[in-house]
Amino acid sequence: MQKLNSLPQKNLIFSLLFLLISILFPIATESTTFDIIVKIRFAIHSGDSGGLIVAAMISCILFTVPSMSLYLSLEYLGSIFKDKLKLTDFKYNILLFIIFVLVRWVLTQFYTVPQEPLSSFLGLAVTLILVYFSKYEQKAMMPKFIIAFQVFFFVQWLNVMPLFSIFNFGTSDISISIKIASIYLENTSVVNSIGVSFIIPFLLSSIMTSMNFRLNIQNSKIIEENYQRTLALEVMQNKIMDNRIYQEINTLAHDLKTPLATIRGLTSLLALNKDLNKLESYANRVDQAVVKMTDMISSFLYGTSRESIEVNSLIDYIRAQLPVENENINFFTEVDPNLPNLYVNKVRIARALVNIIENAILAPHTQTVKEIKLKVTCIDDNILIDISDNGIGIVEEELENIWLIGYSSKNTTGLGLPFAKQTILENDGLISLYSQFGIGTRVMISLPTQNKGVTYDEK
Amino acid sequence: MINKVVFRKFLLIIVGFVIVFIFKLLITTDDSVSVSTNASFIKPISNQMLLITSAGQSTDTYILQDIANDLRLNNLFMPQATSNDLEDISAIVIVVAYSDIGLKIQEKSYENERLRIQQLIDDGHKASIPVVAVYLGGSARRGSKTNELLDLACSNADYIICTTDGNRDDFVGQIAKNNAITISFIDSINDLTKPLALVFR
Repeated sequence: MQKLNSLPQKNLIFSLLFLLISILFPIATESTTFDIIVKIRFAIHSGDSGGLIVAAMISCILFTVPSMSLYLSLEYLGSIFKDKLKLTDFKYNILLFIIFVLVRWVLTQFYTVPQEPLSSFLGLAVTLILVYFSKYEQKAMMPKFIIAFQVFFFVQWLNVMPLFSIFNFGTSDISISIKIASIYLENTSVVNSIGVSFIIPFLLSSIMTSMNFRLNIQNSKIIEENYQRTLALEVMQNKIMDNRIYQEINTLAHDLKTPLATIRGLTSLLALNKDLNKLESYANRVDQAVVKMTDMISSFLYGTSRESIEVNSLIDYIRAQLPVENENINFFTEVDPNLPNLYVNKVRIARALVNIIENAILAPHTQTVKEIKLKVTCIDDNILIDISDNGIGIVEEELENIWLIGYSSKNTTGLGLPFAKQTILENDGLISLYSQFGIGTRVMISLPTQNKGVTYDEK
Repeated sequence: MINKVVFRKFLLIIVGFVIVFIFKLLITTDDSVSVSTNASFIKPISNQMLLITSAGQSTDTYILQDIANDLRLNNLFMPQATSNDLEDISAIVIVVAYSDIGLKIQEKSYENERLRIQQLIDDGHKASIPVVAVYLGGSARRGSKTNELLDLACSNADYIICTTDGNRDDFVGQIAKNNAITISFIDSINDLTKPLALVFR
């Protein structure tokens, strides 16, 4: 709130500052106007056109500063009241123009300094048009400053060019003296040419400045819109992933039913069976079931937790979660002997691999029988799991999209592969997918072994 | 969208026309020179020593001084000449044009300038020194103060030289007519040499 209140105060200070410059600058530079007259006299005597051009340049600057300062003063003032008056940009510019004219008229009544009203009004009109065209936000003064300087400077050249005398430009003492001297020195074409050399580039530059600011605004808006859309997309994707994790929890809850059923069955047997010899056996099995449940829950709750597990144990765990066997699907498993243990989060990795295998199962196929092969080998302290199928494969154009959350070509959630990839990466693994349309798909997963995992922990 | 494209192209065409027009004006020259005078023959004035002064302190005075030097006319250049400077002067040439900055440089007021010119003309007439009033300013220099000075100087002059553009409203012409004064009109400042050469010989 403090910051907001200081902006109008700051603008008011700048407004007064520029108004003071507009009023005091001509008075402060009065000696410079004398120098201009001296230069003109010298040019007449010596025939030196260069001195006349210098005099013209100085006079342009002397006329530019007060007009530009007055405009900026009114803009700063206007920025304070525009929102309160609720004016459109067009009405605001008209009002500003009228106030500019009135203030200039008032100033001329109180002190006599060289004035060029026509060029000032023309400069103001062109500036307002270009600022309006730039569509820059009202409170930004830099675009107005840059445009105003270029416009007010080039219109002042109209005052010293004999070419534009017929349009009543250049009626002040200095401008007339310069033009008359140039006529006498027969270098009106030089003065006109120099004037045109300033007018055209500054005019074009001011137009391009306005266009650049306009494009900048448009680009900023586009970038902002894209940023908002990206944010919204990320939020949506996070929600989707949270939902996916919720589904996994559902699956976990489903998996917990098995050991719970085991415990229930055993406790029922315990109640019915009076044989004390079997009591220890049943108790051990109940304990095993409880341990299994505990491991499953811990593995899922603490996603980063890992354990050393046998490859065959993992494969069996996976097979137990696969959908009911279909006679049109042949599932082959080939596990190399003597594989080192894996060092992963068993429950999550198992769910990730189950997702991949389920994709293979659901993939359309042209052959009579679908074949899914699961091959496990070891290469350089990494367990390589190769899952391939003879489905119709994925077209090349879609391959880059398969890892995107929500992308699916089979009306599914499109979350399985992204979830699998995220899980494998979290376990320091790698996953890659190869597919050829009409032939099949192959997914290769690399997971760290216990040796690699221990080394990581030690680090 | 199409309207914007059409509008931009139209705007570019207009800008192109303006640029061509400006360059055409730049490269064309006007060599016409004309000097018109009254039918009555101009009575020559002695060029023994001219006093060149200014009514209004404009830079136009320096132009006339430069031309006089080019014509080898003996002259005493004193933009603020007074009656005390009339000794051995054969003619007074007054270049009329009000300049606010010129007066400020000299730290003179407009009223003082008027009084000086009035006194100079009166004393010149007393000494039978002819007065030539010259106006080079064109219509742009014309304003209330310049008009007052023109009225003052031209009404009491023996000969007037004025630019055609400066007499667009026939202000100077009427002064000359009302006071039966010979007047020469020139189209350009550089044409001043001819009437000066005619009158001072």
